[in-house]
Amino acid sequence: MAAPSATPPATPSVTPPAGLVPLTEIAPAIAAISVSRRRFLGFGLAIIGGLSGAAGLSRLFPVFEDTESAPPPIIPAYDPVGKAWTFVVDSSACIGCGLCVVACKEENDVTEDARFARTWVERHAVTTDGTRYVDSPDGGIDGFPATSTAPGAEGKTVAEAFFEPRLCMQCEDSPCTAVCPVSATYKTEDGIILVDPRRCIGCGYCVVACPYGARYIAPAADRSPNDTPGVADKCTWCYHRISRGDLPACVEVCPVGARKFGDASDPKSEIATIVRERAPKPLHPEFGTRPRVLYLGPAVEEA
Amino acid sequence: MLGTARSLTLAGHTVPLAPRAALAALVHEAVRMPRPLQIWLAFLLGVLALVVPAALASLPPGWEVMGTTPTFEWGLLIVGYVFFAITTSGLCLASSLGTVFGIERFRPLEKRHAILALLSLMAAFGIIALDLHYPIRMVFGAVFVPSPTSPMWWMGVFYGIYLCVLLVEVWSMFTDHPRIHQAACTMAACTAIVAPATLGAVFGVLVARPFWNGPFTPILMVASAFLSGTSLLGIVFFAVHRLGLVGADRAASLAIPAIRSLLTLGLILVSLLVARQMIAGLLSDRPAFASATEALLTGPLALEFWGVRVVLGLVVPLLLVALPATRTINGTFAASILAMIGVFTDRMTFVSAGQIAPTSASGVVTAPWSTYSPSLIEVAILVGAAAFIALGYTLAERYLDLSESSDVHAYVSLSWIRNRFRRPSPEGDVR
Amino acid sequence: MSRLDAIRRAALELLSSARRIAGRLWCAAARLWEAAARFWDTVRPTTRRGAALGLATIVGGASLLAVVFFVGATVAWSPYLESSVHPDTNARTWAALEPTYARDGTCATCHAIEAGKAATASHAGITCQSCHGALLDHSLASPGTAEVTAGLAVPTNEVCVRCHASAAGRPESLRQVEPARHYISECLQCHDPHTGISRRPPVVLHTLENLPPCTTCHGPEGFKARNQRHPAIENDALCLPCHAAGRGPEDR
Repeated sequence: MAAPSATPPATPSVTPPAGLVPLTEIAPAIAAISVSRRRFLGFGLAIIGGLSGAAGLSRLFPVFEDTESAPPPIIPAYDPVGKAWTFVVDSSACIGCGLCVVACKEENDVTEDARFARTWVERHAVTTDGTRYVDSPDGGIDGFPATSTAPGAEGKTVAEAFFEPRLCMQCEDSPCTAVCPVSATYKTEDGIILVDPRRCIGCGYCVVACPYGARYIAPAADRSPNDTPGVADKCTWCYHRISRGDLPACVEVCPVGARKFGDASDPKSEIATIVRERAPKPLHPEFGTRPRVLYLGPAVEEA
Repeated sequence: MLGTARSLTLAGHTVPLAPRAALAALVHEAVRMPRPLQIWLAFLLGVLALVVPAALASLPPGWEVMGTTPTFEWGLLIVGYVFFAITTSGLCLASSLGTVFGIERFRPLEKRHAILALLSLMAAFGIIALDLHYPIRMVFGAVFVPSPTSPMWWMGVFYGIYLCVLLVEVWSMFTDHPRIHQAACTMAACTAIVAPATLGAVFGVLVARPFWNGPFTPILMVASAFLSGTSLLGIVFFAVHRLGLVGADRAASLAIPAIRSLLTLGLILVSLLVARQMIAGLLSDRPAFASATEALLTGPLALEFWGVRVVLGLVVPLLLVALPATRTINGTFAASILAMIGVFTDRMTFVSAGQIAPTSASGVVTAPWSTYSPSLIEVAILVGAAAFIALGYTLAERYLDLSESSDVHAYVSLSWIRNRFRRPSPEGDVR
Repeated sequence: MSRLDAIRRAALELLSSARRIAGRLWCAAARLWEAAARFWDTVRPTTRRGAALGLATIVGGASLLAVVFFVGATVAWSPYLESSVHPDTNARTWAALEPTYARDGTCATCHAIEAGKAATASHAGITCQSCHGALLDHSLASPGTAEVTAGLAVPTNEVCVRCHASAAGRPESLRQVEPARHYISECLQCHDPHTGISRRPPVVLHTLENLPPCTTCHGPEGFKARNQRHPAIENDALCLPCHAAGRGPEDR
């Protein structure tokens, strides 16, 4: 290079090859645009062109559409297609023992905090003056005391009462899956609605969207789904049990058979018989979400 | 704005970038500024200093500091987010009459509204980032995985577009690109209608919350946005007039009367919509809607609703802008402040009323009402957001040139439309 | 002016306006084209080497980005990978959780006697795990090891009281007590949940306060008190005058 000197070396003058005309002669306006802006614009165009080309090329190849080999099944020997899981709750049989709540928390590693339960039992009591009181002490996990603990019910005589177990309805037309902004909650092929704890941002939209109050944001406690606190959680109908042919834990331990579960696609199954003969109904059909937990007994008339 | 390796020049002020020189320049500037300004900035910085640890305390795993429960999942932070988000849209809506349609009375609002809108939107995003439990996941989850069934996703899309458009608008405002500025203002005005409407739809699609459910919620949000943006402009322009800031003469003669007429419009609109909602709630046979309305009118929210939202926030401002005795600059300022307080209270009662009806969720039965009391941290975050906007705007007012420029061409001015189809008159076209 | 002329004139005005607008649009388009041409001249390569380099960069960069996006999308959405965002992956994670409760009927394979007893008793139909808690680990543990009894405990009164405490809403067919007034605190002292047979309670010296009606225990079908000297009577009101006056079990 040039010998070191105080002034910077002059740019060498180069005669352009024949046939090429200097820029400034073609368009004098170009000289007006500063060099740095030109470079920036040129660079930007290259990047945009590259990105659009890449995006376009990657869209040309479908990633996973109708490949010959299907992905491995969810659980070996479990075919989710064609399953019509149905849950029937008999509110006239329930005695409010709370064993279902205990079993659910034990089975699914739900936080022990009493404010959060995937399934719970409510007592609906009508006093002699006709007022209706609903109470659910700690979700019913320790059973129920003799009289209603609802505010305003102290000292009043209860004319009639019944227990109403509640859980996620796994609605056909679920508002929770519709409103999730990141599509973290979704419906599986067999109709069970699950939450992906890796994608949930904890905004709580699904919690306010559920008409049945089945969802909550898992607190920062010892036990949380996939060790991820702060994400939405809810009853999954014990997906890990039903995919192995077992019953959900709450159905398993109910001492009076107030909860029934099965695959209604088999017309000879117990659950299909119940649905056919006793015509259970969903709660609050006016919400329009088409819940799949069907109720028998006084809970249906009251709703 | 011109930047070199050694210094940054913005609107005539040069800031050296070497650390020691920058610090010296900062101290020099702080000593030199007028005493009231020093006190005001010190106060704002003090508030922010208190708020920042509170905000940090709410980061993971500190979520338990929020007062929300499964029966009342959306609390004060959501209220704050909605309030600042609709304020930012309202600012562009209110000033679109000047920027997009070129009406002379609204021209003074040009530059100030853009700064305020940008600050307000940044505050809204900051609040929601603190409310979400995993905000980074939202960037990847919402951007790369579209969820078109979710109104919240669309709200994110539209407010994202709005942010980009606002940035372009502010940039072009200070770097002399009038046509880009015009296009950006038009785009911002359009987005400023769609975005709060989508925010209203976030509440309006929920069948589980009959108080929010329905087609009037998006309309109420847009009307609230208009009112809120106008009130903020009223407050700011009163300060411009009283402190004699840049453009104060036009502020008193043009901007403040213009803001007064916008306020009147906004107050009447919001009053009609709120009245409609209360009447619909009283006559409704959906129990949650009826009990939510009952909570607002005679229940736990009654004091906030009647005392603050209706009387202080709607009736008194309407009187102030209607009665000849109070159609003054001070009267407009008072009306603006009260209307703004009214809109904030309206957001709060709105979000509360939707969740207050007795319900049972995740094992908790609430009776007679679902309860929620905001924790100190949530209040601190909201106060911090307001202080942030005040601080940003004060600095912008001091160091940027916020007077109107005469370069902004009216893209679609009413006179242009009128003159297209006029019969040619002997004097020729008159603009 | 006649109406026809007015219409014609309005139409001509509209036409001229339309022509003016079209002309302006055309000018704007031409200006855009010129601007694009000027811009292209600022970035267009001037040497053959420059042109080759530019083309190579764009094509190479585009292909590299395409490959990156394709691979990234494949990896992120693959249902085969555990870290993917495909919903099936997460469904598999949920389905792969380990159960804690065993299947009904597992108990009978080892505990046939108790299962047989329970099947005919008043607690028939209640699964073992309702009272004994989660038993899957117990059922899978190898017999004779410490794991078999790990975590097991005899159910306490709390389990019985859950169902049998009297509470509003429970049907009359369910036998209910008020535990605070049932005076023996240990349910298993008298009641065998597996067979439903209740034994005679052990002798308890008790005061006369806070008790259920005397006939609950000492009625004609109930227990005779130790050293009971008179046959059981059916009317409570007849018990108290003598026994409250001090003539009762403490006398002896």
